[in-house]
Amino acid sequence: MTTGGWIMLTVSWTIIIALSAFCLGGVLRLEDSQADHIKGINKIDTGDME
Amino acid sequence: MARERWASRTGIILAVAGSAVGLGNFLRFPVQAAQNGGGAFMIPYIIALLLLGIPLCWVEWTMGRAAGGRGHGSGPGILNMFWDHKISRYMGALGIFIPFMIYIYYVYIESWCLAFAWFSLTGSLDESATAGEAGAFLSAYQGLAENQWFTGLSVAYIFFLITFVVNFAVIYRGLSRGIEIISKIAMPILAILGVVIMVRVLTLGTPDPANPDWNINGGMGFMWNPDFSALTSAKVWLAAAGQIFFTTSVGLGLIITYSSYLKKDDDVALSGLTSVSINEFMEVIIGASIAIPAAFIFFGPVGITDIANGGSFNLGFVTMPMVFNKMPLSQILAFMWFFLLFLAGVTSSISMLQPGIAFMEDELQYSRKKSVAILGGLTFIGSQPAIFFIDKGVLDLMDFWAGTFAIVLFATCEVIIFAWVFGIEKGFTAMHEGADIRVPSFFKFIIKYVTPTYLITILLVWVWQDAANFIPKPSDENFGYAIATLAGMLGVIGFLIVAIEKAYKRGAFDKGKIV
Repeated sequence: MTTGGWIMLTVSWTIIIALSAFCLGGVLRLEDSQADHIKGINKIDTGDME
Repeated sequence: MARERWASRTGIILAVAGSAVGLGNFLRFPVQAAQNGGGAFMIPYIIALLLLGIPLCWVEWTMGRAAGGRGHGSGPGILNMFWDHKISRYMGALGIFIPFMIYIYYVYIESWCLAFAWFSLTGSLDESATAGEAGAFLSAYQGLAENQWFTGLSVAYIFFLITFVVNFAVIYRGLSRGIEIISKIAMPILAILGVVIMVRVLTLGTPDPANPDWNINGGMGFMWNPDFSALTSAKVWLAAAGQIFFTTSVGLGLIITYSSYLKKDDDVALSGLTSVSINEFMEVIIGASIAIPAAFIFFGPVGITDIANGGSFNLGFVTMPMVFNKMPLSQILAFMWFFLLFLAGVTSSISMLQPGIAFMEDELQYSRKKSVAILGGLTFIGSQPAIFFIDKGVLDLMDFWAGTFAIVLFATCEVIIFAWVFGIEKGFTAMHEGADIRVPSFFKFIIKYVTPTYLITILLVWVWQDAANFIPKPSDENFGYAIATLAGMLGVIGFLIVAIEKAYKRGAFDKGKIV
């Protein structure tokens, strides 16, 4: 792998890890009253949740 | 109390992660990267994530939630809420067309995962885990060749039928809650297994002494070494944007549909960003460190490109059995890997049916079961060409036009309607209702100017540079199949436009406009 490759890998991984850490930190810091407002697609009830 | 709180937040993160992971991360992404020059692909890919994927995820979550409050849950109704014009409804048809078309071939790929899980358990995958035979095994399974493993499509078709029935049983019988619970458990296991496999791939060394350059350093270099000359190709930029959309589900019509079921005070800003970032973690950090480096080690730089060009989802199926063959407990690990991928596929594919169901329920006033039955019949018929004419390029053609081109086109329509017709200031206010994070103000500029310009430029330059290569020519070997596939896809769009007109005439879109 060239130096350019290492730079690409480092920059890409840094961006994604930083984004993930920011989001996970945000979710973990939420108050109880706010936590239920965070949804993943599968968690959204489209009328077929039984 | 602190422990309960931790468990509850972890549950939320796992639920979001379970929704975010799909076959795009581990099967489609490696092929897209390999087909488009490895490192050359990653530059437009990361730029597309920052300037298209993240802004558009916020746009879609916001549009869906706002329109859902007025009783619209699919593309035509949602876009019409923001721009009351016939054109917006027709643009919105893409939000049903795209997931419908992707479902048609995605469910078939999903069935390969189930089949490979079964072959892992029975040991037949072990027998084929050499560089010469892994491709032959997959080809015969797909019905492209006959050999000691398969002499026709019957096995593949049985697994397709099982997968198809599982999908519709889940959605018809209303078992989505069960799927949510399964994915919450299964997806973290998939992620952990991914890390274990990643470590094994990174320590494979140089397994073939005859080819000393086929090593992990070369494999990672193939994935990451930048090739700036490829950046002048619009096809690479289009493929990168398409992959970002495909994998994050942005531009497919799924997120606007699902977010239409949110409550007014549900968060969209942090939910959307968390979903995108977890998905990218799985794709770029874990996914990119598995199939491509491993394929490079086993097949070399030419072989990897040949396999990628052989089919949009082939690379993972050809490479992974060879990786497992180099691990202890290979049968069990291979079974777990492919079965967990199958579950990831099920969670994604059932969500692809939701836009069509929402359209029939909301705009045509059909019952849920009737909508599911109609969609079941149509997708079953539509799947047949993808299965039986895979050697004629039908599946890859669908994947390009629906899974790349149409997604980019639909995303362009959405962002223009949101930022220019509805207005970026109003859009930003709507985005922050109930939001748990503040989206930085510079994203107003990005969403209004950069994202649409980026998308329009890609589309125009691609049309100028490359479109002619994607239009079937009478001299092409599979000209008839290509024309029939394109005609079929246009037929679906035509059918949707007729249905939208029918809904319009009965006043389905007169539910007020968002102001």
